[in-house]
Amino acid sequence: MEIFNIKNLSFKYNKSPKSALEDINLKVNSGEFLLLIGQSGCGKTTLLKMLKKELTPLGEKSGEIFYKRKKIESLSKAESASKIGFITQDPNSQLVTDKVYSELAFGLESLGVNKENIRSKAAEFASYFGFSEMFERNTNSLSGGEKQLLNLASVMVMNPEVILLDEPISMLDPIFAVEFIHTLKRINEDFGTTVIIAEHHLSEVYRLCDKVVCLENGKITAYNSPKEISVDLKDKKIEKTLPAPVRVYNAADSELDCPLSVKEGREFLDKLDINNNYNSESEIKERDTILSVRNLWFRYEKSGKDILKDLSLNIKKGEIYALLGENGCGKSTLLNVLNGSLRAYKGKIKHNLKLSYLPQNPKNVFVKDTLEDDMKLISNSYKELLSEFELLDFLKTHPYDLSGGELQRAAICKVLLTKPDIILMDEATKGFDNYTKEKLGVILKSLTDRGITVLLVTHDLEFAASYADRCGLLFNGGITSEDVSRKFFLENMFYTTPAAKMAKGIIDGAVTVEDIIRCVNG
Amino acid sequence: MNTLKNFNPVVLLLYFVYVLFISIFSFNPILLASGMLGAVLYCLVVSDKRSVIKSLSACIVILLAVTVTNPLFSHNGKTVLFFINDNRVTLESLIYGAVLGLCITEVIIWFKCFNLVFDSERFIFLFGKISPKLALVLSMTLRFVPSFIKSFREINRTQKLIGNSRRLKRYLNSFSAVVTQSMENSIITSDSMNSRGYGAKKRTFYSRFRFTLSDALFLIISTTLLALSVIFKSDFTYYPGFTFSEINAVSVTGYLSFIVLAFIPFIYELKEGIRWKYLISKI
Amino acid sequence: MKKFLLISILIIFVLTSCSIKSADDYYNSTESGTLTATISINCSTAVEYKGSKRKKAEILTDYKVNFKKGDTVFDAFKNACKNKKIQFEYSGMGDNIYIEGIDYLYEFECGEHSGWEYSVNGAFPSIGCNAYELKNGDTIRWLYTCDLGADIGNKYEHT
Repeated sequence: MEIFNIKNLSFKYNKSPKSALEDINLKVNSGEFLLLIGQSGCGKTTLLKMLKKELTPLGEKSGEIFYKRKKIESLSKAESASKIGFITQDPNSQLVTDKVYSELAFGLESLGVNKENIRSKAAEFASYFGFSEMFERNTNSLSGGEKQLLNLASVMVMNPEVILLDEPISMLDPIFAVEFIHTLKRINEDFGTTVIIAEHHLSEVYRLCDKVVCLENGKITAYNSPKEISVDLKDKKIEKTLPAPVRVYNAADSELDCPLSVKEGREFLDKLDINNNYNSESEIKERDTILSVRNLWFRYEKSGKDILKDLSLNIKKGEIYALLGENGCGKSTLLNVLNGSLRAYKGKIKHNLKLSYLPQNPKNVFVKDTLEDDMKLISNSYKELLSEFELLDFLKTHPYDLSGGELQRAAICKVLLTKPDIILMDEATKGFDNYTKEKLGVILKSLTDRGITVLLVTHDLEFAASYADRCGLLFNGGITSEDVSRKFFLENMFYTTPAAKMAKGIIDGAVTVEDIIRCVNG
Repeated sequence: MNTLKNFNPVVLLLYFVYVLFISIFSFNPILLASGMLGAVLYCLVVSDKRSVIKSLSACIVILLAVTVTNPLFSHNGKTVLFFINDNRVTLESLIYGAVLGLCITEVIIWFKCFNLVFDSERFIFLFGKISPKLALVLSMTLRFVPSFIKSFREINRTQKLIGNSRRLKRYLNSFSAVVTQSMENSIITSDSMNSRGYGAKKRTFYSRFRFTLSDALFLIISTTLLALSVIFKSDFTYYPGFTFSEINAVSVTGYLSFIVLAFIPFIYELKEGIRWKYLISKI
Repeated sequence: MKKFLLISILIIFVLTSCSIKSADDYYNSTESGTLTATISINCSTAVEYKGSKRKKAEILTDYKVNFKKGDTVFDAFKNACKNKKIQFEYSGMGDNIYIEGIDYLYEFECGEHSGWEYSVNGAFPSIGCNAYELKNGDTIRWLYTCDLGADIGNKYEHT
């Protein structure tokens, strides 16, 4: 049975000259897991919001949307609320109340469900989502991943027929992102709930979905199953966001079935019968150590446990150093000790550099109403730098109105005005799609050309593999392994890129998709 | 362990109102002292000793201060200790001061007990009884305020690190930034509320608390004890000399009723503690 | 440190301006004076007041008290109370001294309109008792009222 039928849908925002959606025709069947892909600004979010009556933006709309053969406008508020769930990017702001259980109850309370019914529903879904232990906790004390799972649970409590998700994992750390997608798949299979998800972190969701829709400039340009759509996406910009096996497949021009997982990818590479040894020997430049950390110990409270234990680290001039590690291993703490916000109780930090810091949320760098005013806070000679970063058009724009990538560039710009020797970056790529990341990577490389050193804390292994000179793994309060990026990823089993996992033992020395593609193409 | 918490908040609130009502209006040193003892013992059982000792020492200072000051301002009483200028300083006034001090400190300690039992969740429950919307607003505020402060600190720290060095200006800048960010986020929150049916129907209110048999029992016992101690109350006057109702079966019943009332939390906690130890020993 | 000094100076100042005496010393010291006045203190209204525990109306009857030239009603009253060991409590200072209670009988004890008033030679002065200067041979009466003076012949009139 079809759950959504979109007929000739076009939409134009009130103040915008061009259409956000153009002539969309799409049928979604009950129980389907549908993935929407497309560049930032292609209309994914608009399309999702058109499917949820309460969130439909203002503008000119033509065409029809049917929900179970009823016009979407004819749904009552209560019906739309309970049958169509919606989850957005920001795990934090979607929460409404202060306690986990009251958040779970919020939707049912709004629908006037009686107390006893809410009690049993809340209990049921708390245990399904693993919230039993956290039932009475404050929502503020949850991690980002737990918050997003709670948002999902609070929607599921209302027993929806379909859930719409707008980039739900872009703000999550990788482990939670994977967990979230798997939970979503489990819901899809356990309850037959229809899932429509827009996302650009495709490593897991791509292989789990039933159908993929590709949007470009508000139009559907491809629609097919994940295995078959890959060919249609070939040579499009969007191709770069596809999972490693699919990209390799596309580059190989093979008649075989499209691989989706690492396992299938390895089988695929085996069948291709390439026995190429990727020449991984790149020259290692000798550099001076400019920042050295010796035997650092840190804890937050006197009787707390040590977060950093006997940590030593050398950063060399003009390199990009990526600090990796799982959640809560102390990466951000280390950055804050280095920038002086926190004080280690033992150990030495030696440098005579001007440090600068870019926080996880680049918005925090800006405090004024226009980009220009914010730059002026630091220095008056900002025009040149802004033009170099392609930001001159935004002088009069409110910083918070910039897109993610632009905002990050502007933040780097502002930090550069302070003329730093080293920039400490916390999770610089969070929430970015692949082209934005690429652009950022190029900028970071250009910084090192100016002699600026970058210390990057990140979860993004692919980004580190592509752009960092050296990588270090922070575990249990200390640096447990550290090497030149390529060697680092080749030697790690689990903590490495999907491409490296795929190529291990088949193509020696390859750690990025580009490495593999180069070998596949001979 | 704090098992008293498990009672229905309405019942608990009534209990605290009862105890404070009698303590304040009886102004009887025996009742005040036993009320104080009950509260202190309860605190000692459920919270850490250090914080109890801290509050107690503060209470002693207040008690002494009130005791000493009262005779300087009130010169009623038969037993003259000495004269300051033409004003007599009397024993009665000194004692009255001590009882007043005891009354004030007892209220303080009972409020400490109240805080140990009443957290935000229980407050919201009480408001939810009045209006589900009010409860929602409270709950949203309790989420919003800490996250607002947290983002303010983060922005302020970042600004400090990127060279916004003048403190006052930085605070103002950071404040305006956090307000803007909060307003942006509130759009997401309101979308999230709307898409979950906010305003679709008359709101109900869910809480984890029910009214159980033990709540009813607690309510009946405490109300009975309140009634007994009000009906059989003893008079106690301080001026010009001390007079009190004679001690007989009636007044003793009144005293005992209040003493039991004041000791309910302690006794309950003790009983649960012992039961817990017993249950554990069976594992 | 500065604060501490200031506070100690203040305390010393307050202590020196007070004279502290034992009850015996206080009652045995007599005030000299060549002029005399007659003082009566009466609370018959309180005895009649419903629910009152007062049994005796006369607290002091036609007592001759000495005073100095320039002394006020309050000074003479104070001397009389001291000689006869009668308890009293006042508030205020200077011209604004107000008698709150005499012999453990306080204002407001017999209803919200009750309190102490005084008359000199049968007339009720409208000034405070420490502002009224006595003449030799004056007769002072302190009377308790339960009705703003109406029950003791000093009906309160709104002006």
